[in-house]
Amino acid sequence: MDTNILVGRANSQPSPYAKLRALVADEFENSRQSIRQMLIALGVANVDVTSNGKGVIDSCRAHKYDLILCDFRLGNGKNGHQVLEELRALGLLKSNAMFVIVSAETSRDVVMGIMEAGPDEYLSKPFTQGVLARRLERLFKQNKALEKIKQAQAAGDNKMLIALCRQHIESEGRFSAWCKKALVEAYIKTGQWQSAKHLCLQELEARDLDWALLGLAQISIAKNDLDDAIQHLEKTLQLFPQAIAAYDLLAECLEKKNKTLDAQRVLEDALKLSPRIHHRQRKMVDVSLLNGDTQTALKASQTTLRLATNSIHENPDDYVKHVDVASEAAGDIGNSADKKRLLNEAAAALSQLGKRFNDDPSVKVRKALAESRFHASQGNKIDSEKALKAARSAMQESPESLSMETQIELGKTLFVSGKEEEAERLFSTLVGDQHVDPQLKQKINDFMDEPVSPTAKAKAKECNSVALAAYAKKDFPAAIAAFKEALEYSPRHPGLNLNLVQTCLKLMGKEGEQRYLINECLEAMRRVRHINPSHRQYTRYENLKDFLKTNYKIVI
Amino acid sequence: MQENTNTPSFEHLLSASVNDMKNSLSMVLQTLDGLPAEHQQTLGTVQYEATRMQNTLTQLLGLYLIERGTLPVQMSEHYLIDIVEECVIAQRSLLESKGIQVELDVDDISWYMDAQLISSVVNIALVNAVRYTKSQISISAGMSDGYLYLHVDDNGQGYPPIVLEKFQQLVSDQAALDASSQTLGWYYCERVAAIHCNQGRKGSTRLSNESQLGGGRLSIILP
Repeated sequence: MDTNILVGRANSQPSPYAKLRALVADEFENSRQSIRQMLIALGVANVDVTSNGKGVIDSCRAHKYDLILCDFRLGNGKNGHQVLEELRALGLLKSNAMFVIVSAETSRDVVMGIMEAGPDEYLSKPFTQGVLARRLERLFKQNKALEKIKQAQAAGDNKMLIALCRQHIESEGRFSAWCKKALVEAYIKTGQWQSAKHLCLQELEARDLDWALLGLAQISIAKNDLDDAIQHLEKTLQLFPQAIAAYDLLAECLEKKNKTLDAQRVLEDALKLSPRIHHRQRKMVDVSLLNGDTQTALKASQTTLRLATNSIHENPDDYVKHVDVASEAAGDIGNSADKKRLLNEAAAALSQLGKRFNDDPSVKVRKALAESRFHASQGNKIDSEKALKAARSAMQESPESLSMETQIELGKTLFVSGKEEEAERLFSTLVGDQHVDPQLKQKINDFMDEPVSPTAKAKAKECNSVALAAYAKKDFPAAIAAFKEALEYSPRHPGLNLNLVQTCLKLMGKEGEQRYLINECLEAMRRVRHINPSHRQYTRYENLKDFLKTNYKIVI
Repeated sequence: MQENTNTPSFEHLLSASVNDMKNSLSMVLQTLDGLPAEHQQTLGTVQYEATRMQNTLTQLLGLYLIERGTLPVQMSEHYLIDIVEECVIAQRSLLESKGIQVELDVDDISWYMDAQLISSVVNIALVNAVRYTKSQISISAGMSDGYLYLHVDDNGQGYPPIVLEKFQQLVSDQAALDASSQTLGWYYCERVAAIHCNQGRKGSTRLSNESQLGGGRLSIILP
């Protein structure tokens, strides 16, 4: 084959693209026109152009395109990645449409972000007409060969997808590698673990493959074998340090195992690789808050909001969370300029929340609650009270807007604005309600265990480890002192309180009954009276209660 | 701590500038395409130099990112022939002006690799062969012992022993990199090949005079 034959093909035959409708999106006029001219020269009959993301969405509402060449950078507004996500979410793409991201970008955050969005093809700028012709030829060939499979995929018909993929692989089709990957995904979705595992292992025998290793990890996660999953994921990352999906899964497994510090570290690595992903930044907010790392949470929350702007990801939760995180962070710093900036940020998030979702009655309630918490955190009782009142009247206006999540937010607001008894009443009703989802009950329990700031949580955690180290060395008086210090930061924490009780009992076991130790036990047990049967520490609490009653005649 | 995406880092500046320069060169090449072919030899020289500048920019950015550990690597399955054909098509004008014939003898093999990176390596090897060839270039590829072999052959005079030795030292990291554009290109190819690993084996490159056409040969070997 020589070059002339290669090039001649597109010109000498009638164009296979005559019936296609294509769209070119590029910020710059000359670039737009140059690509359009190339497509016309290749025989594409209808070529529309647009300069921005909104233009792509509007054009796709008006026409069903076969081919979209979309630059990543599209001026102010949506970028190519956000456009693709939105087109998919709105169902504006045909199952056989080809969305090609065109980009001159080589920086990793952009390249990774584009890959994660999963366009049909990535074409790097600059390119010649010949290259575009060759690329389209290949794309259409592949699209045709996989047409039925992609239809099944789009329709979510896994049974059909599995059958077609197997058929393609058995006949040694040209796209067998693609089909194997799709097959593993379909097996996992339909719970066919054995088949999925078999295929992954078989492929791994021939070569190291990130998707096959990830497949094994996903199977283990589905079977709830977290240790096994973690092992697979660590191996994946060792061989493929840029396999971004492995980081997300690993962080998820570690969080489930309560190793939240490790989970945060893994997410930090993932964000270094690919920071432009909304769900990842959002996860970072949650995990860093669990670790009491307000500064990291703040940064991630800011990025989350920025990424959500102009995208399908924009949602009230992010704004509500940002109000809480920013006011929390403001409380942590002394510098008044920074503090002011953060408070302005929280206020801006509140007003954005109102503007963006003004026709949603449940958001009206949540906004008022967030506002109340915001003022309470700044010690502004009057405005806090006012906002709470507004929230209550919004609730009465539309009682249907009061979801379980909103009720939890109400409870938290009551708590931080000093109405602890009302909060406890509300929470114990929710926890006692058998219709409430166990995960939400867990959330309530977690909050009631430590209704304190993330910073205080982190400090309590530190003291707790000091205390545990002393306990391990059987230095019980030192352990008691450290547990008491931890409880100054987080007085209602069941683990801390029960640890304190247990340590006091150990010391009395050695040195005999002591009045002051009995008092410590009594106070600790009273602080955790909120422990209910759905609580993780319930059995331990009951056991200690019985022990105190039998051996020291103390009734709680 | 996550990187701040607000303020441009040197990496972003370099990357943006490199892309900008590559774009300009591409405009230059496009303009040259429209010129009448009467000064073909001069045209060929200008095209060659502009293409070489494009490749040098790719190498510069690539090696910088490799050193910083921030080169994006996206492994997936690709047919080698697709990559090779695209590279040849991209250099069509240059090859025509220089009157160079390219033969392809690439087996229809699908391989797990970063297509973008391997494409840049094939392109560098191709333009390298343009420099050394008299009139012909052959690109061949096949599989052996679980490795993928891609050879870019020319019918020039072949490499003198001293160049072959220099290459050997370069890829085995024995010699400090002298920053002539030739060695920079080879060094980039070697580093990109080495990113490709499989079951404990690593990719590599080789320079020899084993060309089927009687000249020099640059080989890319991927596990």
